[in-house]
Amino acid sequence: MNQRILTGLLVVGAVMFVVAPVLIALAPYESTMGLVQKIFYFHVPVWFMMFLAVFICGIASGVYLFKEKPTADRLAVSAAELAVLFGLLGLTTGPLWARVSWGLWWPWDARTTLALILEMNFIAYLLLRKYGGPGSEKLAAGLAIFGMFNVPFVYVSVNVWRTLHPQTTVVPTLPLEMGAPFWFSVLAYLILFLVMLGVRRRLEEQRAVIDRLHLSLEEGYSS
Amino acid sequence: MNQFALVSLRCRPGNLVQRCVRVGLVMLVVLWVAHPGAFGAQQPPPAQEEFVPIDELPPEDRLPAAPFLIAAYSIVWILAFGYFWLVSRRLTDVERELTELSRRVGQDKGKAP
Repeated sequence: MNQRILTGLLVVGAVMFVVAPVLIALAPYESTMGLVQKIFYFHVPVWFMMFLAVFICGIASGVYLFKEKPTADRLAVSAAELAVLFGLLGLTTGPLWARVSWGLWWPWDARTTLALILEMNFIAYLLLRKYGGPGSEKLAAGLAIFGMFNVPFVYVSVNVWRTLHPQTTVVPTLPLEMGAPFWFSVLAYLILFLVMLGVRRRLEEQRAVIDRLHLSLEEGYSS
Repeated sequence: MNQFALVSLRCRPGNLVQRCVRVGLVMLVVLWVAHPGAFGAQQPPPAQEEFVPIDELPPEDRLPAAPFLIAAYSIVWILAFGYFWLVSRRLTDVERELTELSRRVGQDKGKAP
């Protein structure tokens, strides 16, 4: 991504992150959960970004596996790191909400358990990339594709299994005064996500250039 | 002597497994009769289908939830921007290394016959 576009997005994102708490504060209280329900305005967007990162990682991994494009692999590893980050944010904000709403930190219901498995999947991906040695990129790519297919199960788990989590009908049926701050928040996180992905991908690209330069230096010394 | 010690004393080798199973079943039936809700209570209440806004938050709900909300928002800010700062720092280091390497490669090419 172009440096100028990245900077522009960063500025817009920063402004939105300043405005978002004001909109969230002005949003009405939910009738059964009260104040703590406002965690919803950043807990759910964070999970949306986690799913987006997982899809980008999974699709890029597929492209790398079947077309053998190194650029796709670099995009995949960048997205995987963001998937772990946003998953971690979701897994820490969720229990804080649950403790007040349900009286327990972790219900071990279908949604939380599947989300935890998804997070561990991408932690495994990063560990494999770091310590797996030569060839681990392809193994990790397979793991990423497996993780991507886990996402629909996480999403529909609240409709299929009995769970404490609200159903997927909550977001589409939000009244305007709750929906506006929510979608504003989603947009703010999307911009933050794109900036992070752009910077992280640039880091991978630069590392690849360094590797190539090291190789050319070694070839120079050996010849 | 408590009930569990008595059960373990009665379960002697031979038909030990059968006796323990029988005693276990009896205890489950007793528990179910005494607390009929004990098994039903494991089922969570039905999931919420929609969020309904209210005008004013009840006073008893104001204080306990606030620290959790603030903690959640702070964690998001700290982790997200901490990560962003970390990646920017790594990028700066890599770009410095890249400049140094490019310089060395350029020198080597200059020396080549």
